[in-house]
Amino acid sequence: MEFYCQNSKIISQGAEAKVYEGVFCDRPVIIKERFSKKYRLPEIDEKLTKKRLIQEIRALQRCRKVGICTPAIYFVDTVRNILLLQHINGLTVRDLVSNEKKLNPQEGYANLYPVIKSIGRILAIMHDANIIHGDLTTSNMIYQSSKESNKIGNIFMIDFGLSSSSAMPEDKGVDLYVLERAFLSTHPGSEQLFNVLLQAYKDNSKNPSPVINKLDEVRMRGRKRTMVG
Amino acid sequence: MDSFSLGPLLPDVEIAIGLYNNVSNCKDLKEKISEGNLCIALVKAEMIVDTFQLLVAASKAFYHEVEKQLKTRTVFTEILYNLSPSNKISECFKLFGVNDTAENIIVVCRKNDSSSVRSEVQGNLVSLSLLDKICDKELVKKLYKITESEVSVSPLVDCVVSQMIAKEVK
Ligand SMILES: Nc1ncnc2c1ncn2[C@@H]1O[C@H](COP(=O)(O)OP(=O)(O)OP(=O)(O)O)[C@@H](O)[C@H]1O
Ligand SMILES: [Mg+2]
Repeated sequence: MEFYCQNSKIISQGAEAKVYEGVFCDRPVIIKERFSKKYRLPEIDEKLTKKRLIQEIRALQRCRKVGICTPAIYFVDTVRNILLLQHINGLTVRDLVSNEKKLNPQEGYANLYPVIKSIGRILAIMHDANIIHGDLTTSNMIYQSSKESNKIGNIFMIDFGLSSSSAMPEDKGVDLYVLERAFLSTHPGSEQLFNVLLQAYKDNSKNPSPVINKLDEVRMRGRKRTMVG
Repeated sequence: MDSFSLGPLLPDVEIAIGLYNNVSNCKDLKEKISEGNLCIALVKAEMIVDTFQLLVAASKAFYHEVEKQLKTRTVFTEILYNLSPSNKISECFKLFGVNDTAENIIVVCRKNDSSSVRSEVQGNLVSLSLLDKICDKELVKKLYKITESEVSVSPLVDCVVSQMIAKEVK
């Protein structure tokens, strides 16, 4: 592993992967190494790790093909489970939202509505293409501001290791539910902001009703579960 | 020819890349390659969007040489194989190799061999930046199945290299 990461800086150590910043052929890159989990049976572990790597590559490609920004793929080592991706210069939507709260505590995130709407639109396009992200959080979206001041910039979607392909409204609804939970727990008081995102999803999705109905269903189930404790 | 290092994957490998036009001896060069007397990759220049596309293919080829995972005979045929969006080995030579009468070609070799390689090619060595004019971008898009939505969010070269790498998990 060391030679991939000579002069590379570790930027994130998640539950399943280490992420480094490095350089590849003069371009800034992200090096994502999935490691094995000791508590899993070795055979199962190896299969799962490889599956996540493959799912990640497939979904990055499928998303870009329908016009969703994703990092370009520069190299993969399917033996060591290492992926080299284009480094996106920007900040996670998580940081964007947190910064806004610090900077303008009175404004209730209104400044972020344009960016948040574009996320709703992107998720609609993604689901219309039957791509389920599987781990939608504000850390898995990178906001890249635009050089032109009148444009809102781009949202890059990342971290597709848990993604899958499905046309089922239930799977899309759960995808949104996961995001809602992550959103509201990382950004307290952001209910209105999340509603703006959902509205944009509805406005842009080809067939939002079955998905939103499922979302409501899953919310109910979630609530019952917490009530039972 | 311009030289490039393939670090951090391969800190010790340096390669040279040259773009030639008005080449008159492709047939001869190809014979020398198949006899094992010339260690180079000859690439159809029309299929290359940007030098980076070659660097991605070469990095993977030299890496797989070290890892003993080459799918073709040499690290230089492997460069052609890696450029191809298809996993069929025979197809990559048709798509990315040069025919006997080709005039626009790209030569990739080890940096140490570059001066001897230069004396073999009869043609004009020109700047790699001319690829932008020589490349048949419509053909490239078709071959790699790149959509208009895709090029609207990402530079063509990034779409191409991503597709080259993604073929490994097809
Ligand atoms: N292409 C990229 N460009 C810039 N930053 C990136 C890129 N990919 C990942 N990152 C940064 O690294 C972090 C972790 O990456 P990623 O989410 O892919 O890994 P992970 O380990 O699966 O995540 P998790 O922390 O959810 O387990 C991201 O939140 C982001 O800050
Ligand atoms: Mg993540």
